[in-house]
Amino acid sequence: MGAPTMTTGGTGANRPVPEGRRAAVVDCDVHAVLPSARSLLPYLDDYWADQLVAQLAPYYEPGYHPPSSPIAERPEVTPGPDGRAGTAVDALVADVFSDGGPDFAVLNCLYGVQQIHQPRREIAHARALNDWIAREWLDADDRLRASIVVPQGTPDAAAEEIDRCAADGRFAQVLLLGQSELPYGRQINWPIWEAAERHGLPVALHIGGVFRQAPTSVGWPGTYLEWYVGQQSNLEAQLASIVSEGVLQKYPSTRIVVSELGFGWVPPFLWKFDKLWKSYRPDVPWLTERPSDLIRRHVRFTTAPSDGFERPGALDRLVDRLGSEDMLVYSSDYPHRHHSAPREIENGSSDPALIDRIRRTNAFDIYGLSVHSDL
Amino acid sequence: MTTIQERPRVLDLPAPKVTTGIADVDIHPVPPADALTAYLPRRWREIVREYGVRTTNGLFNLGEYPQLYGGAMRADTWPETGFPGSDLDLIRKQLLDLYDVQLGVLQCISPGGQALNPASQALRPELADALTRAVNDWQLEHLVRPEPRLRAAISVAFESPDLATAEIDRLGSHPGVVAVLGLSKTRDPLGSRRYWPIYEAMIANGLPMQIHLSQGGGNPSTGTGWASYHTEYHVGQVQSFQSQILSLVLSGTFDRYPDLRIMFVEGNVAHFVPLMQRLDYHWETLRSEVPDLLRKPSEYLADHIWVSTQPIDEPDKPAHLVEYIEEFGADNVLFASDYPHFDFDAPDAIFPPSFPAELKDKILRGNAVRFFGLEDGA
Amino acid sequence: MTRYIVANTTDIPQGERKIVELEGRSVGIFNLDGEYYALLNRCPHAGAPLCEHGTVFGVASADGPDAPIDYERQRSLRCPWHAWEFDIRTGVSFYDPRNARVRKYEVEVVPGSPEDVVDPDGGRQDGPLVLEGYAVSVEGDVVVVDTSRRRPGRTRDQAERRRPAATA
Repeated sequence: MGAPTMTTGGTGANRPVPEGRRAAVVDCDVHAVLPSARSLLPYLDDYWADQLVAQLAPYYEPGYHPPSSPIAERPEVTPGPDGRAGTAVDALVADVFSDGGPDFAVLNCLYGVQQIHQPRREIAHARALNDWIAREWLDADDRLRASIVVPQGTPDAAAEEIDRCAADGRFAQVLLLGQSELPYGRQINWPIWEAAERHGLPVALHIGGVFRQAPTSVGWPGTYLEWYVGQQSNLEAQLASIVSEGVLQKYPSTRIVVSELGFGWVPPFLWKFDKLWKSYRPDVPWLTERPSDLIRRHVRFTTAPSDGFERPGALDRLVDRLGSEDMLVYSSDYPHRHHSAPREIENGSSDPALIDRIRRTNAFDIYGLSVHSDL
Repeated sequence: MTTIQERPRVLDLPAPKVTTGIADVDIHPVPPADALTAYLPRRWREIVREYGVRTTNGLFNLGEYPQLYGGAMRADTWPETGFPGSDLDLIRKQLLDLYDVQLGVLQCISPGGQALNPASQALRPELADALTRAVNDWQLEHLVRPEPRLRAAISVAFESPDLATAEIDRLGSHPGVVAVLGLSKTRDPLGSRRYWPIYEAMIANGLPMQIHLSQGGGNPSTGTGWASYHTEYHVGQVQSFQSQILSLVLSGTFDRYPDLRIMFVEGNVAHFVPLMQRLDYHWETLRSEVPDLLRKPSEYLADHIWVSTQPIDEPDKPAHLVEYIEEFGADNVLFASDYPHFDFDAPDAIFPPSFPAELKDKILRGNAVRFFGLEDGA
Repeated sequence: MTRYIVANTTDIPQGERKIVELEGRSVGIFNLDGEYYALLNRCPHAGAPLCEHGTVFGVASADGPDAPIDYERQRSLRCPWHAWEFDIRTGVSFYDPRNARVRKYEVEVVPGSPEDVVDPDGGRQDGPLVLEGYAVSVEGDVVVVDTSRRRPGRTRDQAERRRPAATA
């Protein structure tokens, strides 16, 4: 696995790879961790730096992976100087790009700027966080790519941040959290889609949230496990919103990468959505094809956590139910620990071509990352 | 205040039996205009007349997402006068007789026609109590008594468990009552301990619970805010059920109440399968957070969770429907028509030709025996 | 080819429909502003009585979510059970035009003068009347439904030309 299979040229699953190159193996979801709020001080202007210090540097560590819980780190990861995984670039690079590893890795930093209620502070901290990522991570290893963290609370400012960061080609996508204040299809959020499309960037919808309301439609779950597993429901809601509100018609080059949110839920979701679209077509007359066809074209899902599809045959059955081999892209979700190791997803299929798609060519379709054929 | 609860006259009803016909677990009766008035105490009648029924939205007489077409009624179910579901003869003709329904379970979720939120969602607890009692007394007298193929799932003031349990105790031994009716949109997830007294009362009365999809309830339509379009709103219904099943399992509710039987009604089937697989997978990693759970999460399903077929999943390949039903649990899926509502499922139309006959038989009749505690008709 | 007189034009007022049985099949005939359309009274999805209880509705389209919504009334027939829609003129579904359709019948309005058609038994018959072979006596214009399958190879244009322009 991972060895180059093509010597001259080659293709992504659905688009050509330049002559002499092959589609790169991409780890689509790797987590860099901001060690401390103070890590942002060099990247904040005087006003915001003093604000941060005056506030005693509140650390917006998100609760998406409680740091001492079993999901936080795999036992074998190399810790940073502070004893935590994901806080130091050399340790992360050594782990992620170890033998048999990917050609590229996309960093999703989940530091919780989106949960800052003060809009201008959120904007300033998102900007600082992106600069921190560029200087301390992307500069350190040219195999790293990153997602642009945006101030979700102010979509116009989010679009400006996308414009700013996209100039640095190492930012490979835009990061949005799975749970938002208003569903992402809403027109107020269109500046984000517009900016992402303008720069040819996919948008990752990653587990996480802004917690402006209960993270389920029936109130607040009591346990972390319940929240974590249940966030797939919010992705169903987000995709239903994005499709229904016509984002994919308005911004037809949009690509979405659903990250760390599972994928087994997709077939039944598509069937229900299609069936009800047939009933409610007049409510969304711009939708001239089945939601499932739109989603198959525009949306990809990362493979970690693999949610049981690493069992022999399970992945093949899923792909049959999905009706597409294009929808899965490989991720390790480093350094998070799950019940199976990232590459074990390959056990779920008996089809090497499918695994090759998941590891390389499906990712090429969304990121366009390639390496020399002899690599 | 202690009052002796008035019980309606207990009918001499034989226990329901499903032998040659079928069971339909989701039929929606609508009380004819003013029918409930006679069952409401005068003081509540006056308050409702003057102030309406306050719920969690700011509309006087509507749910958040008024139905797009004709009140979401099947267009061929309108009687000469009144709403679909208000004419017993038409229910007989279009459903009970036509499909040989031997047990039809009433899910009365709209006391005042299409517009009013369900009685149980009235914000004022005492009013929710009065309205649900009125609904129950009306359906037992006007539907179950004249037509014993119909039995009631009784509505309760769910958000006020003390009142809900009193109503369950009042009617629990009535032979016309086969279940307690809950709604999918609750203020807290169903595993929340504040609802536990309701489960205790159900079990004490030997009743299972049906959780029917709903709007309202006090939380946004999704966990990531309010949906805009009907496609989103309606697709989103299953998300509430997903949250509820996770809560019920992980809260330890089933360990506490080993006899608890819950059915999700109008919430599809297939989507629960990958959800439970996902839950098992992450429970393996995170089980230290729920060390008291006695079983692996998915193992609770067979004893505690039933689902109804409607709206039937329609994958491009019909074989996938069978696969998902079998993976969910062939013994825990029951047929529902949703009559007289739109997206009605006919028992002679929803099963693809390749659907296994034995599985179909379970869904249409056999599986009702265990859920409703019927005498085995076989 | 069998053509049936299904009604006098006066039997199906504007905006109304009539359900008849032709060759063992239930068929619905609609009069929309003087244009007549006939479809099989059975939804291909779940068998609902599509014509008898379907709702005649408009068809909306929009180039995008922020574009104006164009709306044409009386173009769709919405199924009473699941609200899936069909083009009332062609029977073709809007949700899956290539694969899902309800059978459409050609309809004509012809003068039903006594010179043309004579009822051998005298007087009017109840129910569908076969025009050719069983000539009947009717007064005024009659609505005729053709139960033959569309012949292979016939173009849409040809089919269009066969449709009566309007009430005679």
